[in-house]
Amino acid sequence: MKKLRCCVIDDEPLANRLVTSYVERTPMLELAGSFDSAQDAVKTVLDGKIDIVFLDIQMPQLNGLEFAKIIPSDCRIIFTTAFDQYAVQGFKVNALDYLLKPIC
Amino acid sequence: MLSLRVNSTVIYVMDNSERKYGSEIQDDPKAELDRLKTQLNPHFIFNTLTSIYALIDFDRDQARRAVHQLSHLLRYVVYDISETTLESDLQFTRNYISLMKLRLRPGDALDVRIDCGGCGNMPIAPMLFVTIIENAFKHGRFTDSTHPISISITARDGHVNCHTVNPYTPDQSSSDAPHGVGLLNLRRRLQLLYGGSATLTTEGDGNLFVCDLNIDLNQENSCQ
Repeated sequence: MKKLRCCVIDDEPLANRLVTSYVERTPMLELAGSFDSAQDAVKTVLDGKIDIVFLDIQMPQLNGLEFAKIIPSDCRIIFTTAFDQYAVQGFKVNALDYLLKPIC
Repeated sequence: MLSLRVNSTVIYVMDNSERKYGSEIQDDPKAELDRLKTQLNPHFIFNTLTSIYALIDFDRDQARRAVHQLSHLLRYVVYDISETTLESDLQFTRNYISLMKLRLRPGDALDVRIDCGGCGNMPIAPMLFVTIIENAFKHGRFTDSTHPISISITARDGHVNCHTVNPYTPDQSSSDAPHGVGLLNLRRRLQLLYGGSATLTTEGDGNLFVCDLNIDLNQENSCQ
């Protein structure tokens, strides 16, 4: 079975590491990269045939909701955030799912 | 309708009578001080809990320490004190910095120097430094710079100085600028509490942002 290629984008180092470790432990997922800012992830997400992006919302400079608008439409977005006030906006940019931190 | 609890009296103010609300507050420095009181940013609490949750997997000893620090911090905030000692406030500040450090990237540099210089027993209003430190982290983190976030709080002969330097990007949007509402509130609070005995200066110096707070704790405090 083809594995789903995933990217993790989160500026909080520990939260990033946790989601990354979940991806690494899940047999059907393959980690294509984990990034501490959306800018750093642009090239990988736009070029890299990514299937799923785990995307934090509140990040400095380019935030998750802004970044979501340039993610290719065949790439699924799962928002990860500590704040549920962004949920509605998250689904407006076509999120597949929305995980409230801490993610277990 | 907006309800305000001030000194056990509930005052109801219509939403559209902002001017009346404003003038009442100006007439009552205690009510204004209550409004300006520094509070922990809820984002700080939730992000810290998320970090601790992850630490339980990666480093249980550090997770325990962080829970301990967070509980001290919350105790300080929940018990609504109007005055504390410099020593207690600096302990609160150390805990705050330790928890903020959990959110730095491996490459982010931080210099901290805290020394109460024999003034630990002097009374001080609580949480005067946290707004400045929060700003230094918020703007210093994620700015590509070799300059560290630098935090220094020192005291001598009843004079306390809090000096922070952090890298920042000068063209950030105004809502996110380092002279936002937090620093405005702090400035007003200092004025009410310490009048001319406190000065707060902020300046952008190229890609560095410098904040300097001086308080003379020897002066009698008019609003306590």
